[in-house]
Amino acid sequence: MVATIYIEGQIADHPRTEDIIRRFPKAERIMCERYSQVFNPKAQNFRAQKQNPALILAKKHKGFVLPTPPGYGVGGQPNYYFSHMLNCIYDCRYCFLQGMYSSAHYVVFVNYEDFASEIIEYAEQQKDESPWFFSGYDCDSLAFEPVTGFINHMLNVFSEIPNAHLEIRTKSTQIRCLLNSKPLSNVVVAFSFTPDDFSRRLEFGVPAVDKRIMAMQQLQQQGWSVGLRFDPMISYHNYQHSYRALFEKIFSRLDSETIHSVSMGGFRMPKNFFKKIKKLYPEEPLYNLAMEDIQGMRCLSVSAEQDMFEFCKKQILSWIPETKLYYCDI
Amino acid sequence: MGGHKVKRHFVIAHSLEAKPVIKHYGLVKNSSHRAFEVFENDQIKLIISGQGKVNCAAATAYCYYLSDSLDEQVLWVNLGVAGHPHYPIGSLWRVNKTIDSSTSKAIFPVNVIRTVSISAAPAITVDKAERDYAQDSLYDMEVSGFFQAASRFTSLEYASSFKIVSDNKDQTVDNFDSAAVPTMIEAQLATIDDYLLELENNIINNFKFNFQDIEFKELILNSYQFTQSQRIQCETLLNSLAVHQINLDKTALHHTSAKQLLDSLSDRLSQIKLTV
Repeated sequence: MVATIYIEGQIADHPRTEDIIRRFPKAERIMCERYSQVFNPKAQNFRAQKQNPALILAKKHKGFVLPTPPGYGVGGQPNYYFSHMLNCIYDCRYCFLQGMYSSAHYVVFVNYEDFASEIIEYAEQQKDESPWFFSGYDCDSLAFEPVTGFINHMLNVFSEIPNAHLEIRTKSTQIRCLLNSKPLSNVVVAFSFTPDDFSRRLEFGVPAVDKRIMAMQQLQQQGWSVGLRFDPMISYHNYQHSYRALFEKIFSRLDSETIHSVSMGGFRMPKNFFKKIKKLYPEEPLYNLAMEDIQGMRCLSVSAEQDMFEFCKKQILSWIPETKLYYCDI
Repeated sequence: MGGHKVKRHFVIAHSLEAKPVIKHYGLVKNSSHRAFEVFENDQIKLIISGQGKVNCAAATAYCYYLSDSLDEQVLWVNLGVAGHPHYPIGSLWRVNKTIDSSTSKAIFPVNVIRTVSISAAPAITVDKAERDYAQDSLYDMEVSGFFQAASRFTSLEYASSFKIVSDNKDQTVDNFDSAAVPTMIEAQLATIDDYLLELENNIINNFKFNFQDIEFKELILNSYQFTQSQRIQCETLLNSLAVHQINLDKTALHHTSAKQLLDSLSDRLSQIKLTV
């Protein structure tokens, strides 16, 4: 799976580095000083690399926890995100990461303890509040978990800071670490969905919708709180039929009572990311639709999206109360 | 972009290293160049840079400007001999990291090929022939200059350097028989060629989009008086409509102004919904 591993010299002897390297005994190993030497140069083609991404093992030095962009959240305040990994093992054509980074290599920061310290510090500073920490912003939270063990590490951390909440956002079915742990009331495992036909066409490598629902059922049965993320929602031919079928499939199989939250978001992409991705995938119909610029973001035309949003909202609200529904906007 | 054949540009330091490549591909010398010796056929250009990273960078830049079109898809290849403390004489290596010994600057070429396996090693570019082989690394005199220059013209996936070991601690550079170089390189050309063919397929797959009817697009663009930004907007709209397989008819040629054409194309695009 990983044919090349770049290793920062300063973490070459870190036990986690050694553990990860052992999983890929045939991989070509290349030493570097800083991950940015490999990851940041502009003369790289994300699309070409995505066919055979390398793994970069690195140490993060600062900015372990960052405020989320406005409009990102599920009702709590304040909201933060953190990324132990840059880039995703899936290949969703609408994903902003394609425009954000020059490289498609996976960067894994192995100093999990530093992430944990900063999260604990923020949680203690805001003892009277309920800060939310979102994992899965610059990567999928669980897809690489069998290799990294990061979420497993974080479950122990969040079990000690009950005022803080963790959202594990994912499209993955790698839930073993959760099934092996005692459910935590301050952790929500949030699964992203688009309809089957859309997913097959634009979400390469992502587990089938049915498999993700099965994973959610297993988690619910064990007592974990789960969330649903319909983001991005992109209008397309016959979306009514596909979304209706998706909602029916999900909500009829899950226990609505223990669904923590549902969120909806439209397609929005910083203009410079959009431009870069369109250059990478000039033949992709999604990037050749009529778009509007709203506050520096490229969005699908509001009128077209509005109908779909209203349709889906109505469908969702037939299954859950409005208090559980959130909107991620610009 | 699509429809172009992928070209190859070889940048090689010495004529002894170039000789088997010239023969393998049937390249012919183009005598019109004075700065560097250039050999070519329809698909390949080979430039002999001379020794050293500065010459190599200059030759790479020179070769770039020999392209028929600056938009064409090109594989950049540096090929030559190198030293290593213990790798066997004649063994072939793909460079996966290059360090300029005088600046310590590192560049990391990117390997996207899975099917053709060529062992990889880092390379240190030195200013004088290496006799100590202090590090477990290839030693050469050009590769850092090659990647520094090539990365200005292409992405690091499409620039490759292959080194064939000519000297090591047992058989140092002072005992090196340069007459053996062509044979050493010739022995590895088939493997290198397989690798480059895979890379060509990768380029073709990643740049396959083509406007369906270039002639009609040109006809539309030549039928109106556009400002610079209108022209870009029109091209973008035409490309987007082509992606959605919307075929324009001749009414596109009969609008009263460029603005009316653009409004009409925008309107057409806004009616399109994604199909999955």
